[in-house]
This record gives sequence, C-alpha cells and structure tokens, in this order.
Amino acid sequence: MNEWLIAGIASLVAGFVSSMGLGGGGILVLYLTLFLNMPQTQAGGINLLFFLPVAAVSIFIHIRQKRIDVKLALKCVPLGMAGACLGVWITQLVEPVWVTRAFALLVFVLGAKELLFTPWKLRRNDSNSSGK
Amino acid sequence: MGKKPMHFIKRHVSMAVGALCGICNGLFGAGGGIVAVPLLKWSGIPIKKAHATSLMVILPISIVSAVLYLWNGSVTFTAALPYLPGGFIGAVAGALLMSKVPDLLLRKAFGAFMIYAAVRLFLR
Repeated sequence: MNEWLIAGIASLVAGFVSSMGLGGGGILVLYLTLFLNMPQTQAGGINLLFFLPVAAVSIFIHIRQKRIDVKLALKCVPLGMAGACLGVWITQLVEPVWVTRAFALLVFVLGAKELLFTPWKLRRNDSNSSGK
Repeated sequence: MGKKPMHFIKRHVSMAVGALCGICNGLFGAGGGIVAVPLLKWSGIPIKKAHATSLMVILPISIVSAVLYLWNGSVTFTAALPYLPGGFIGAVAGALLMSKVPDLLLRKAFGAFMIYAAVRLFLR
C-alpha cells in the first residue's frame, strides 16, 4: 500500500515536472534507482515508456496554447533518432555501473547549473512564451 | 564578418540538439530534455517555449529508445504500468498550469534535488 502511494506521488511529480519540459524523467529514474534499487537500464526503460503518454498529452496542450516551435523541433529529430540508437548501443558495451556514474555526473552538472547559474528573474524576452 | 560563424552554428544548432538529446535518451533513458532546453534557448527562442518545444524533440526520440529497450529486454510494458496513471494526471496539470507555476522556484528546488540525488548515486 505504502509502496503504491509513494510510486503514485513520484509519478505524479515526474509527470507534472515533465509536462513543463523541466526534466521530470530524471525524477522517476532517480526514484527507481535510489529508492527501489533498480538497475539504471531498467529504470531508464520504465521512464521512456512512462514519458510517451506524458509527452503526448503535454504536447497536445502546448500546441493548442502555441507554445511549441514545431518546425525547429522536427529539425532536431533525425539526428536525435540516430543518437538514440548510438546511446542504446553504448549501454550494451559498457558496464552498467559506468552508465550510472555517467548519469550521476550529468545530473550533478545540470543540478548545479539550475541551482547556481539560473537567474532568479526572467528577462522580458524569456517570459514571452507564445511568440517566437 | 565575425557574426557569420555564430550565425551558421545557430542555424544548425537543431542538429546538435537532436544528436545530444538522442545519445542521452538512449544511454540513460532520461536527461534528453534537460540537455535540449539550454540549446534550444541558445538558438533564440523564449525560455518557456524552449521547455515546451523540448518535449516535441524528445517524444520521437523516446519512441525509438523505448522500442530498442523493449527489443533488448531491458524493460517490459507491465513494469511501467504502475507509473502511468499518476504521470498522466501530473502531465495534464503541469501543461495546463505552466504559465501560472513559479517555474524558477521549481527549477531551483529541482536543481537542489538533482545535486542530492547525484551524490547518492555516486555513493551507491
């Protein structure tokens, strides 16, 4: 019961943060690896499946509110797909512990960037979410 | 003259965004979005639009990664099932409330959590 409740809260928070493009996937992966002791690849796989409906519904809402630059997004996709294949291939080559350590390093760097280098106030240009 | 290389890089930043997000997404099963946002912002779009656009960059990449993870047996659909209802509700709430949520505060809190989690991951 307790486990389900914690899983529900973790997925709710991850979905909420993901839908705003703030990297909520990281929350779910960290919950699964740190609290449930899951291997990185399984946690990553769960997060990928979790992300599909979360992203689909969020994109639907954001497009209606004209918050997405569709043309720019589509330009990123072809090399992104190739990169994904490369990333999955690398997971097969290296020890899982190194994947976890690399992920920890990425999380640390991005966390430090958010905490220390993100200004407390948005510039006027940044707060305009609808126009390019 | 000096602006030309920068202009060229900015015009092609989408390729770098895609490639880096793809590698992170495939390697870790997460993290692509966090990498995408600063690069998209650097290409010149407003920050909230960069956050929303990152989702559209990551979705097709995640589909490819998810298929490959399922293919190589790293994960099953049933393992992800318990997390879907909460995620769906959270996503609808987040997307609808995006303009009302103090996202800078959320990012700072998220940053602190990430540093804590990274240290715990290193010590695991």
